[in-house]
Amino acid sequence: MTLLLSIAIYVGLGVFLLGCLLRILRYARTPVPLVWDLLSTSDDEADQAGHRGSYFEETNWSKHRRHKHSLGEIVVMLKEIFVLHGLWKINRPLWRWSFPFHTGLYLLLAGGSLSGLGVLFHSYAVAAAIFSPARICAWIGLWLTLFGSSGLAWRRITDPNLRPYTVPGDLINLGGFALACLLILAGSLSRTMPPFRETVFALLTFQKILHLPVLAQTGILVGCAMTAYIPYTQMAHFIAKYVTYYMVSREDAAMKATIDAEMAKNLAYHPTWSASHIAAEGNKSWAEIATSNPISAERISK
Amino acid sequence: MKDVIRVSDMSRSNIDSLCTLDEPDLKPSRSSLGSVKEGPALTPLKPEVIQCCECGLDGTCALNIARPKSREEEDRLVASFLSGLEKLFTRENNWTFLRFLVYTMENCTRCQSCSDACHIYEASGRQEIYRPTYRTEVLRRLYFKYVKHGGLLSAWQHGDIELNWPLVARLAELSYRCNLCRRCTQVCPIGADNGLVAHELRKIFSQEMGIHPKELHDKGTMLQLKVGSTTGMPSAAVKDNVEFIDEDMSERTGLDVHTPWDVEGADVLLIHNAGEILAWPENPGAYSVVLNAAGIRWTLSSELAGYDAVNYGLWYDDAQFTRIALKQLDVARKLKVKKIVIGECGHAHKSLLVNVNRIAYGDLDIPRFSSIDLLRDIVFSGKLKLDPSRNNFPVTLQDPCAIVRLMRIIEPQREILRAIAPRFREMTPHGVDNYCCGGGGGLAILNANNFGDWRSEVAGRKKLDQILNAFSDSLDPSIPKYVCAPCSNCKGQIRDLFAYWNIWGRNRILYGGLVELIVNAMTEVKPGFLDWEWR
Repeated sequence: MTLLLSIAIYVGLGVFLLGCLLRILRYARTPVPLVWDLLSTSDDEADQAGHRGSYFEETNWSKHRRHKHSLGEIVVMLKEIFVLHGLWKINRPLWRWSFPFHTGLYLLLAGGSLSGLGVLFHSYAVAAAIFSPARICAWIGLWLTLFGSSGLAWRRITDPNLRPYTVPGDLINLGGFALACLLILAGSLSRTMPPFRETVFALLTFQKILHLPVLAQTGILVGCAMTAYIPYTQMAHFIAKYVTYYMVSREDAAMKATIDAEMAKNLAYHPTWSASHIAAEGNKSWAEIATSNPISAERISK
Repeated sequence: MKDVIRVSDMSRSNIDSLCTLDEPDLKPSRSSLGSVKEGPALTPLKPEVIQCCECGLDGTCALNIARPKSREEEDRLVASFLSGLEKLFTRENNWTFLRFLVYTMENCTRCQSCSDACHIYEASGRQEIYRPTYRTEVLRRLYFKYVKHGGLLSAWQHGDIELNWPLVARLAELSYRCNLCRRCTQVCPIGADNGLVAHELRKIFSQEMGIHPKELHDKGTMLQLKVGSTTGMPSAAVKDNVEFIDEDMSERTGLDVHTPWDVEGADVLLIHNAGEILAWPENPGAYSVVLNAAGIRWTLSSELAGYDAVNYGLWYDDAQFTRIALKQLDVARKLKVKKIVIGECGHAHKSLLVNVNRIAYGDLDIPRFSSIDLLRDIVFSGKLKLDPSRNNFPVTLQDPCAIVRLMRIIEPQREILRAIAPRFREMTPHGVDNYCCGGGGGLAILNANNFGDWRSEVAGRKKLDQILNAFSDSLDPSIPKYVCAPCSNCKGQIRDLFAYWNIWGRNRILYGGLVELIVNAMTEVKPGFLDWEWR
């Protein structure tokens, strides 16, 4: 059974990473859009003055070299990642559950990463110093994830604002996390549960000799399934939030040559919109449409 | 207790409205707005309109979509919508916004954090259909079902919806119940853009089905591409009108006011929203006064689209947007001006300073700036002699969403007001957190049926409350007050809002632009430039 668990862990992780990669590539490959996003100013000099203004406040801004403040940008991102600052500001009741849930996941990630490191250095003395915080992270992470996911599921069922927009998938997603954590925690309370370091080492190195309680085994399988499943749902919003959304908000000037080339490609596309005023006719490019005047093709109703 | 409106109700086949807007539900109440107005929130739609048009959403009707005469016609329209929906998610048809749209479709966690940010949702008494995520949820379900071809598993994960003609017709109307102010986007913890969804829905209807408000399309972009301006003024008429404005300005200011036209190589090509010339002529007139006094080498253009910064395409149609924006840039290129300065018009700022950026390359990439920055530089250059005591009346500032929230031009207008208006006070909230006037996204010019009522009763209600609160210490009609709104769209909406609620008669609150206050403070101008008359 432990061999199956070991395989499940690596398959789960592999599918997760592959899914994330595919999602990142899919977003990155969407055409460079027109500028539309809300101006991001966390890195802007004017914003540093404290009133959240942008470079558009400068006369002749295009002639000036823009002063970037990477520190400001990093601080904003860290606050958003680790304390969910936006949610804390605007939706405190949800933050009370979402914050422990996300913190729990981060701790599980940290615990898992440290465990992997511990296995690599297993035969060295330093391993003990690595497994110890890994165990603490995993333990707290499990409790926080259980607490947070249960609370979020409860809110989705009881909150009149959330209930009409809750689909079975939402409850299964949250329930899956809660179940995995609950089973692993229940299993770990069993007298037959081996020590943390031994368990992790056995699971990550395909040892067949380990005997885990059934509850823990089931919990690990559910956890692996959930991990593999994340990138194919809206739970992967972290990818868009921290990679794609950030990328599209970047300063145009820094990527001008790339953008000009991408725009030339975009303008060569042949749209097929059917409304008469577009006058696409199936053979005109965006550039031709944008430089045409549809007025002869359509009567003006006054 | 009101019935809960669900996403699936959009497909309801009866023609009754999904919701009714009852006055007691609207927030804040009429009495707290100081109004003695009675009767229903919206003038009831005429029976013949209900009979022949699709009005099944909320008791108003902006589009006047004709009701299909047969089942076959319904099916054809649904197929057309479906075709547009599929095109919306292809790079060939929608490279312009595909990235943001897919991002929003696939990542929203439906946490509803955006709901309380929406002034329409709040003012309506939290009508479910106005919740920013409501229309997004409809589109999301359609996306996963018909574009991603999801089966049962997808329905379980994303929710199901029935696509039929009533849903399509309601969705068309619903796309015009959003001001595109994107306050919801600003507060979204993951950056999902429900404002964009309204915009993209409008594109399906316009670009595929030819459905759009007449005011935006026939009398908007098409007219602009035909005669040069959404006002219908051809070049000669604009020049005549501006000449008249110059004469009037000369008389009112005591200065010799002359507006230059088509000056090749000028430092500044100023492009106004041409609506100002007809509705608020003192605004372009005041610009002539200030720019001449500051010694700027500037010009207006009389070329097609060169004298009207308006671009309604921004709100509903990418093709129309690019056509107009490129024409405006081409005018500047031909005139060989050094830079373009956009007058006091919010959406024109967004269109020409932001949205067009990536397609304005080569010799069309002419430097473009906000007139607000220019005014700030002039005021603090010392070239004008200003007497703030001439503006010694309460002034508050409307922050146009396009200029302030979306472009973050926040301080220049405040620096000016602090320097020339001693009784300036902010609205609450203000700056990037300010509320839309209720006319954003093109809604200010939509007037079909009772839509004007909807704008004043629902979309503009929050703004009216903000304005009244800003002047709470001086609401007495003996004290003249001024809402400084550096945006033509905001001014149009505030004009309608004030007229509807009798704000001028009741509280003597006037509205106008920023530059008018500067001219009013100029010592070389005859006192009393602001005439304190309702318009």
